[in-house]
Amino acid sequence: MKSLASLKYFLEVSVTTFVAFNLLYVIWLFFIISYETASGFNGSIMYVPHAARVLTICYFGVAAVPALFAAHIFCTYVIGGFYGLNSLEFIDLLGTSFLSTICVLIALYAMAGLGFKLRTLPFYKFTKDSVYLDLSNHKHIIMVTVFSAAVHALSIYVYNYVRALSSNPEMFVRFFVGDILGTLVTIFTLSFMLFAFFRER
Amino acid sequence: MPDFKKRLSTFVQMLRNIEDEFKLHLLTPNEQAVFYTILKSDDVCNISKIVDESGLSRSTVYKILRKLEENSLIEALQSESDKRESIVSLKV
Repeated sequence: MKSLASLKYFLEVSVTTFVAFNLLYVIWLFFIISYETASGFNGSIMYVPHAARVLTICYFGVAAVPALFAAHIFCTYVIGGFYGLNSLEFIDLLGTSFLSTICVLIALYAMAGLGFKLRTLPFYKFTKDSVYLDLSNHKHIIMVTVFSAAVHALSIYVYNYVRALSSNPEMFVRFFVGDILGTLVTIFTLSFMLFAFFRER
Repeated sequence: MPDFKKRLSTFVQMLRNIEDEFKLHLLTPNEQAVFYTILKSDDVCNISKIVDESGLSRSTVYKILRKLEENSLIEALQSESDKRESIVSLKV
C-alpha cells in the first residue's frame, strides 16, 4: 500500500516535472531563437527552464530527478536539435544534462552545509537547532536559485573546459545570469498570471 | 509519505506571498469577499445576500459596494420587483 502511494507520488512528480520543463523550454525557445543562433550559442541570458529545475527539486525532492534528466535530454536533443540549437555529441549531451539536473541538488546540499536545510531532501541529520528553508517564502527560493545557478554555471564551464568544448569565460557569466534571470522571470510571471485565481481567501 | 497536492499548495503559497509582498491585488480581503459573492451569483445579487454570505456588517458592505462601483467593477440598480431593494451586478 505504501509502495503504491510512493509510485503514485513518483508518477505525479515525474509527469509534472517533464511537462513543466518542456513547457518552459519551448517558451524560452520561442523568445530566444530569433537572436541567439546555433553558431556562437554560449548559454542564454534568460534561461527560464532553470525555474523548472529549482522548483521541482525544491518542492518534490529527489523524485523529480529522473524526469528532469529525461526532460533535459528530450528538449535539447529533439526540440533544440530541430531548431539547430544542439551542437553537442550525445555523450556530451548526457554529461551536461546530468550536471544541469543535479546542480540544484548540489546547491541544496552545499547550503545544508552552511546550515540551511530543506525538509524535502533526504540524507540530512536534523537537530532541533536546524535552520530550515521555508518553501513558502520566495526569498528562500531565490537564494536556492542563486546558489544553483552558480553551481550550474561552474560545473558546465568546467565540463566544457575539460572536454575541450569551450573555454570562453563569458559562458560562465551567461549561464549564471541567465539561470537567475530566467527563474525570477518565471516565478514572478506565474505570480502575476495566477494571482487572480488565489484572490478568494 | 510525501503528498503531491500538499507540495503544490506550498508552491502556490509562495506565489501568494509574492502577491502580498508586492501588493499585486487591488482589493482588500473584505472587498474580495464581497466581489466574489457577487461573482458567484448567477446574474444579479441583492445586498442582503451579500451581507449574509460575506459575514460583514451592512454598513461595511455598502461602503465596499460604493468603492467597487467607483472602480467600475460593479453597477448598482434598483430591483424591478421591489423598488426599495437595490441589486448589484458585475460590470466587468
